[in-house]
Amino acid sequence: MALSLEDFTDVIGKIRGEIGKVIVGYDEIIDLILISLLSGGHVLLEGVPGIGKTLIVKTLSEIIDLKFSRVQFTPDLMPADITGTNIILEDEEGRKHFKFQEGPIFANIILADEINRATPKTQSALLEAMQEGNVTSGGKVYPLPKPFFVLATQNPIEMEGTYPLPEAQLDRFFFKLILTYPGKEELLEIIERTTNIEMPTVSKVADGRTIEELKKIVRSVPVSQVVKDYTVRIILATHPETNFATEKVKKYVKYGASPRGAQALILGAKALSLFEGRSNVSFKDIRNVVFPALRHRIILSFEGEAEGISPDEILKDILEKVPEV
Amino acid sequence: MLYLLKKKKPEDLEVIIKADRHFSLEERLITFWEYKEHQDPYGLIERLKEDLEERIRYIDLRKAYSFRPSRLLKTLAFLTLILLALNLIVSPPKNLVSALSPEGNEKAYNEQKNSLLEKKAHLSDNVLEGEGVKKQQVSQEDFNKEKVESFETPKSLEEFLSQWDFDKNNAKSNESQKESQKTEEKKEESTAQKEGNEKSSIGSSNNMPSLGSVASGISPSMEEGSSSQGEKEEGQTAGTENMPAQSQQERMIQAPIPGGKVADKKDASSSLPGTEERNTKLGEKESERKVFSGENVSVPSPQEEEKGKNYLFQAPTLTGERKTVGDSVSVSPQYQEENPVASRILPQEFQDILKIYFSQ
Repeated sequence: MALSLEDFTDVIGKIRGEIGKVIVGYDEIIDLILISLLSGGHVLLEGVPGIGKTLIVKTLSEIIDLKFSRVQFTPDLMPADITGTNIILEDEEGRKHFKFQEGPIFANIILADEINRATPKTQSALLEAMQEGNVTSGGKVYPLPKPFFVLATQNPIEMEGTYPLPEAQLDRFFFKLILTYPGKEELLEIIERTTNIEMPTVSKVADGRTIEELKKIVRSVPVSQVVKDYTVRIILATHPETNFATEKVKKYVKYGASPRGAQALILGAKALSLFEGRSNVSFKDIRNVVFPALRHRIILSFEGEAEGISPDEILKDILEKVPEV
Repeated sequence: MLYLLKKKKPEDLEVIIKADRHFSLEERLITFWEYKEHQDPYGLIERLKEDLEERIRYIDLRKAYSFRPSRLLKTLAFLTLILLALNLIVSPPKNLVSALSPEGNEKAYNEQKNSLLEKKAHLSDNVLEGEGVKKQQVSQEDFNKEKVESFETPKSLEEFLSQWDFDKNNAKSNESQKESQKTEEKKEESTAQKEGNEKSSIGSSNNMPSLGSVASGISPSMEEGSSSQGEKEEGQTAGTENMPAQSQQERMIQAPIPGGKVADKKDASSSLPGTEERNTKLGEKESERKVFSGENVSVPSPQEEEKGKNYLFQAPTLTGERKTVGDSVSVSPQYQEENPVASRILPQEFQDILKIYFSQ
């Protein structure tokens, strides 16, 4: 089944519409989640409890006919609880043998709730699966289903007893999205929808194969050389030791974005251009995905941490200083 | 050529980038230009082309290169105008037309010059009146003639220097030239008289008046007066030895005149030494060239080095024997001098040449 550009626009429009039935507001967040899904990346959602993080992911899995699993990360969660383990089974003849019991990670859409509450050992088991797209157990490699999309959430306020994700593992997330409280209008709408007898329902508008085809279309979007050059200059500007770095970067940044950051910028911009009805990547698309794609890839120095500088401030400064051409 | 190379037609991609940015085509034009020959399985390039055609249908792409002064250029022009206006307000010319025309400038300059001269003349008049000098009516022609004579330029530096009296710090007149002629005549007379004096003084006194005593202006009659005066003379002669070198001519001028009067030293030293007029001026006559007419001397070929090293020069060494008596050291050591022409160093032909040279 080969989809065209019109099919892409049609499918995306339907997904947006269905999500909009359940989720109030957060249009930009939903678009960025879809962009990440279609780019083959994973998303780290950061927000206070009760603002609908889990609901967004659950709704998405219902709209797209995909297998969904949720893992609540706790300090006593073990890697085998996520990836799966070998168990002893007895056949009809009474002979015993090992069989790999797949863990919750063997699904299309995974919700890793409060990922920062699990131990680093468990976190790394999930993050390895995210990167490699397969799980190794008992010397055997088990491929994960496609599409494979992880949506991890973390709570920024309850930091006691948590294990913040190390920088190297944060880099494996395509986007880091920050959810804020909804506004007055949105809050009224949420109350209206969720406190009545009838709860909003969604219908399936796409399946896994469709998503895989859409991912191919995203990757085929042309990007001009000048836009690629601009992207590279932005990435280099996050490195304090390069000539492209701004004064703020040199002062407050310890480590800049990795090549994964550049890949995320280009792929995200490609998907965004299709979302906006264009079939080419513009400078504007790159600028729009800079914050979600790079904010978790910039590691601040001691001065930056001490002065309370946020990575978004650094990125804003970079966008102001780096010329397009 | 360099200009043409630099100012060559811009590259197509550069034009497209500029046009894209100028018309806000959101990089559609650039992307299409780069991907126009790429494979398009999903119809993305075709879609891009249609989109682009729709947008640029009513756009004249040549407008992307129309001249628009930049903000900086506008600011500079504005500042220039303001500065020009301020300059006119602060220091406006009295007569703009005359100030701008070259004739007007010249006229103004002449007027200024004349006024300054008048002021100067007034000042000098006041000074002269203060000294009690009366004004004298002189015609303009006489005045000019006098001026021209005084400003007659010398032909050369030497002539100029000879005309200048450094003691009085003024130019010598023709009269001084006449005086110099007179002094020359006197010089001749004095030399003749001196010869006579010398002849007469032989035998009369052992203490001959030296040239130094003559130069000091003491007459022989005064020397005969006392022996103490002779001691003084010695001191004076010693003093003359320390004097800067005077030319023989000057000393002759300073010789005592027959009447016992001392010659005026100032007259003789009125011109600097070496500033006298030459018989032939520099550059007028070509100096004779000295042509060497000796035999050609050739340097021995390096093949002779095989026979032994040949040195043209060697530092002179003194080899001597110190004569001692017992343990005491002799005060006057004797040395045997080495032959300046070392036979063992120089080849025979060079030795011959050197012998001939030193014998001459």
